[in-house]
Amino acid sequence: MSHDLSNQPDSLTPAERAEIDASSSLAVLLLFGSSAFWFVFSSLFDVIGAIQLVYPCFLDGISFLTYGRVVQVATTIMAYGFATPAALGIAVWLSARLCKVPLSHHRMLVSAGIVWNLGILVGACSIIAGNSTSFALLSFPAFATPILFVSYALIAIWVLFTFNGRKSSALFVSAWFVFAAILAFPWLFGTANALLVWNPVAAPAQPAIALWFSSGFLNLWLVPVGVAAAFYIIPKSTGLPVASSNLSLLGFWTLLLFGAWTGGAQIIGGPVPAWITSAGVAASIMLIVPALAIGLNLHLTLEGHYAPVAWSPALRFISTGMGCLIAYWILTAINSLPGVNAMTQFSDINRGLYQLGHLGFFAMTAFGAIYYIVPRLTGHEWPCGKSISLHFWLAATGIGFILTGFILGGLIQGSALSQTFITFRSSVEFAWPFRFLAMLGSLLILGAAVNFAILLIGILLETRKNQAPALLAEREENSQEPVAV
Amino acid sequence: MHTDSHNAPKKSGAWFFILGIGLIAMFLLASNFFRGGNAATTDPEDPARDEERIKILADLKAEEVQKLNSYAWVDQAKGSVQIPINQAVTLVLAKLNSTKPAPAYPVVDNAGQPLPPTRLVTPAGADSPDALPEGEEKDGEANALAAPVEKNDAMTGKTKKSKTQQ
Repeated sequence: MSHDLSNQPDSLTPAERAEIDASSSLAVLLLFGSSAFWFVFSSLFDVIGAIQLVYPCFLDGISFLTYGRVVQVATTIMAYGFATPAALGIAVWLSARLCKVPLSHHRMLVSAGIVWNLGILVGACSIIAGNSTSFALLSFPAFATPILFVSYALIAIWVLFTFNGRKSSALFVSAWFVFAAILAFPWLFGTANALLVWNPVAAPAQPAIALWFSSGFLNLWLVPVGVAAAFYIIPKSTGLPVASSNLSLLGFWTLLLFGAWTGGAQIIGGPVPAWITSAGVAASIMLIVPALAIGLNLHLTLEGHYAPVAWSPALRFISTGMGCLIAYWILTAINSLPGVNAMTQFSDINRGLYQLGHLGFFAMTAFGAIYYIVPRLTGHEWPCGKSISLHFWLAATGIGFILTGFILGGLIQGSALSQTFITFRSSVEFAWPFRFLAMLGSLLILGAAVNFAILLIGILLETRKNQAPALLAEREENSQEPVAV
Repeated sequence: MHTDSHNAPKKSGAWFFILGIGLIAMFLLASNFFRGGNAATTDPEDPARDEERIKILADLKAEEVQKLNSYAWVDQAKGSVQIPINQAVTLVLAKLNSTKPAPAYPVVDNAGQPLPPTRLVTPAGADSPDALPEGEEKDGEANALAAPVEKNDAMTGKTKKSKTQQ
């Protein structure tokens, strides 16, 4: 791999772009379409779980819809049904564009995408039937994960071949992030499944491995892909180069260095060696470095050119997502401090932070990337700007409600739990109004998911031809910003 | 601020190396700081409270030793006394060794009433009363050993029929 770093995403001719996009269109659209479907499915189960958290009697007579199974399905399908295919689609498209090479064997990618979705279906049915593990993000039974592993390998191998056959000498920063993410996922997923699901190690080691995986899944898989999309789409949409290559490199290497260590901070006081938890706390604090490096770099890139955020769907979603990522890392660092963690460890705050990372950061960034990529693959624009605006506000409001509910409610709940004169029941009752707010947020997210799925069906089936780009607001007459959305 | 040089990272390679070393050093220092070294520092206790707890434990042990090795009245009205433990063991062992083993008392319910006689529990589950068909009467005569035993009779191995058997 060349160590030259470019500040410009790519300089392809229209003919080259068309050829590259045509080679990846079927596979990428399949991945995006399936992620939209599973997002609706996951959001529906998340709503059921959120209602059961507030009204425990809801659907309590149906064994396969009990709280434990419903939440596991929602969380796991969100991670593997929505987030991972979306990340794969973005990675495949970005790697082809950045390496200036048409994707070879794209039919194999399509087949692998279909197999991946079959694996998700098998896994989801297994969890609903009660055949799951007890680990977060590793709930699929032992017979479902090899399906996912094989189909991922069939997709990732062609991404790596694309990198190997690249025509560009200088690598743009997004290519670094994509390359790291493509290698990180099989390392994390294979190791965690081998040690926890296929051939479980001794019980005391299991929580540490599970938390290493869950932190690595976000920080080394979803975050690099999301950041790669942001570093590609923001300069392309504004016509400006990335402000600082050095800040890009600092963010990249510090993320790789500290990203997988943060899980230990969630088991402070647990039955694990002290160095695991202390390294988790230290890594959580050190992640402020990539947060500042990436945040500052994107701000300097957009400085004085924030106007397109108002009308460009891609920029608005991605800006919101990156803001959530920086907030997630800062709040995680604060939450990992032993003095704070002593109060919040068993409260709803952890659920709120999880949603901030997966939903606030990745889902919003992925939506932005999909809004940017899909019109370039289909050759026509999104059918309706107002629907995109509705999608944004439903998602943003829903995430806001969920975060407010879980973080504020978690603070009160954690504070009550740490007081000896307040009963456990009272601590749960204090959190009830905030959980109700989070339930409303989940309902809004379900609305956003359905809206997004309808939009995607609309553009794929070309239900309404729209020649002009679908913008969220009218562009200013004297604006010099590019039209690319 | 927009830098426009592809060679910028090359020029700052040494600075990046130093920065990387510095960040790793910070990570290790922070890990060591939050680790705290040992349980006493990660979960600090009040030294005054420690001394108080040690004193309470010492007093408790001294009181126990004193009670275990001394004579005293427990309840003078009932004639109950406290004697040194070694002496008590000698007396009890002598008494136990002089008596013949007797069957145990039957199980009583919460109200202190003897339970209906049952068969002796054997390893074979089929022989237990629970295995009998519903409505079938249980054989009371087979439960002689499980019947209530008067305290005095227990010494001689005699048994007494329960009310249900009578």
